Amino acid sequence: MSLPDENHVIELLKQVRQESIPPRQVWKQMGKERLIREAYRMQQAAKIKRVVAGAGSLAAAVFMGIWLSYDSPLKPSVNTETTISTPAVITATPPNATPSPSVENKTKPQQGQEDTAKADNKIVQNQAVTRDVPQPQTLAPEATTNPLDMSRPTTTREKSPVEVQAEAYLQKKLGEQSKQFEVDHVHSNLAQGEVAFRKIINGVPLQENSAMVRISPKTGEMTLLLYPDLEDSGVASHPTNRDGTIDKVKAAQQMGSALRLVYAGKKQPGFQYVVASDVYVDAKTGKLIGQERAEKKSVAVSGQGKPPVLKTSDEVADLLERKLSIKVEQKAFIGVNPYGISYSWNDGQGNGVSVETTDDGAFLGFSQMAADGRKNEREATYEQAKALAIAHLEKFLSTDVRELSLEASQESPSTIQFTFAPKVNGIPVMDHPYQVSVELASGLVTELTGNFSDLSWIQTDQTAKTLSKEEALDLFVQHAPLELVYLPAEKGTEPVLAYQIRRDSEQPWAIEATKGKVIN
Amino acid sequence: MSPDLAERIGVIYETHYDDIYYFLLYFTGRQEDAEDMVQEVFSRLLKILPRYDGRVAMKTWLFSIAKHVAIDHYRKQKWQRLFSDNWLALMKSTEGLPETELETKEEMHSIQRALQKLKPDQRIIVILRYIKEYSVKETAEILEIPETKVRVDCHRGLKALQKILGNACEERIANEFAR
Repeated sequence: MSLPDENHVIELLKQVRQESIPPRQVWKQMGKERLIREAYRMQQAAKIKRVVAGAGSLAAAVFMGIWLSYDSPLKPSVNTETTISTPAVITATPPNATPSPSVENKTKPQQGQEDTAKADNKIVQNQAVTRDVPQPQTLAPEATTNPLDMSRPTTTREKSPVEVQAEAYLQKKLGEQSKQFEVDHVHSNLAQGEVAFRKIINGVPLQENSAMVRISPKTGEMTLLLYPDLEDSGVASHPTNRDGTIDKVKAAQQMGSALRLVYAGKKQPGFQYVVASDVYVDAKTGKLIGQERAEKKSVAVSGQGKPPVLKTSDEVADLLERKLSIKVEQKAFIGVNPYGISYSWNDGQGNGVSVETTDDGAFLGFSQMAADGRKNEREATYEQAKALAIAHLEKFLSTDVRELSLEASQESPSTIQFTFAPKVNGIPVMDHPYQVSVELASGLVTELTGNFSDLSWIQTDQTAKTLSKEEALDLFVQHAPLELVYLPAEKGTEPVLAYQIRRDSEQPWAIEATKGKVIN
Repeated sequence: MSPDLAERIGVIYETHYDDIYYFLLYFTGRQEDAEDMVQEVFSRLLKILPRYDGRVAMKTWLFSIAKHVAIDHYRKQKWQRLFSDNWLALMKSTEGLPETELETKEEMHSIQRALQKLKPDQRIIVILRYIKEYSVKETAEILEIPETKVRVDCHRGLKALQKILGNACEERIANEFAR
């Protein structure tokens, strides 16, 4: 069989042009309108960003992120002054209260759902109350007069519409069973429309998210993810046995020993005393669980300079060659994502590198993969991997970063991910982490991310008098909202009943270190 | 950010929509996909428009984004394509057509199917050169590759098409015999 003539193939290709379906004008027009709305939104976002930067209000910036992701129609006419002066109010009535017309039907719950949501709201709150009530009876007697009860978790806090919507959806899908769940703030990401739930078993919550409702910020589409059956975790088969559990004061004293002074806070950054969120007190033995995680090691570093602003593929390629000795050919594949811009190169054979920047071109990190790097043999030790991570970080750190705190290291069979926080005058700066992943078999730094701007924005007042650790501990014992939870049981072991700090807001519970005010 | 961003993107959209739409239609073979992808192309353009310095023609820039969107789409759809043949749904019924017209339709059907079987890079180059009929120089600019590579890849693309069409023809004859 002979192949078709080449000229005939070319002729056929030319005919394809005549045969093709023309664009639908209605669709084209709709697309144009959408694009123009997007352009307005971008202009507005840029305007707000400038004002926010001027005011130095991180809280407003966080709000803006949430607001924009909900496709709010409040676009060009928004008064930026109002936006900044009342972030808390606006945050309390989030965007889906005024949804975009195009997604209204999807995002706005039906009347019935709303009613259910309200009902659910009550259910959860009531449930919290009934869970709290029996505790004084089953716990040691002093619990009834425990000052900690004065600072019980804010179960009556106003839920955001996203949470209410998620609860209504959970109720719709699980019916009566949904009453066993309550919103889990720690694992929720409300800005992304993710509301996590934890299950209450025998009156005690499981300290891991048990279900997740995702509400697409763009389409309003909801999905429910149920985690593997909790009955298998062994918790349900072990009725809560609170005999011999220590009281909350003792637990608070023990947990308070892990208090540390940090610079943190998104709304009002400043000195705070905090306890790491993954530190618990075993309710039976009274010992700290995760103490080793609470002890953070310091690392001296020598930042090699502020990375340049990267606005073109060539500039990114140049940075890769200078800092990482990675040579790339041709232009990058440019990706635009909600957080900025990515420049990627991939040779189609499993080797690739990608650099992320903000919309303004500030370096946010890189990731790379090598085709021959993914073996499962651990050739690098933990210490070698850490040294590699630090050496790579130094290439991008600003010169004013002299010390880091190793906040966490997560090990998997093939990689270790290190999380560092910069230290200023010996105090770790939270909410500003650098993360570095090292592949153990190849010694390749596969990912490095962070905000590499200099630290001049941190207003550390050298003369500010902070509370002593003992004073902070007293306040902690008086006010920390401890709650009993089940920690996930490991295979073959019984679930552990432990105390933890309850979280009902985005930010971790903390003590403001100069005035001693509780931040929750 | 330029204050007339909305106006600028509106004008660019009107000027280049059809060009990009047809390119993506030839690439995907599906009108719905092409329309979605055009939107993606202009959305990406919007994000980087403030840094457009005019060094390359807007059309070239748009095609370069469209190329990436197309390859991205190809990667996402690769597996789905193994189980469906979208071109079949696009073609009108050939029943009741005169024989000559039927043959032409079948040939068109074949070339469109064959085009979809090309590797994405080859497909893009064949579309630009032989369907959109851009010159070698223009194609090289759009794809940011040397002209010699355009020539070589075009040649390879055509050879691949010939081979696919030849195989399809053999299969058809074998099927006829089997009946």
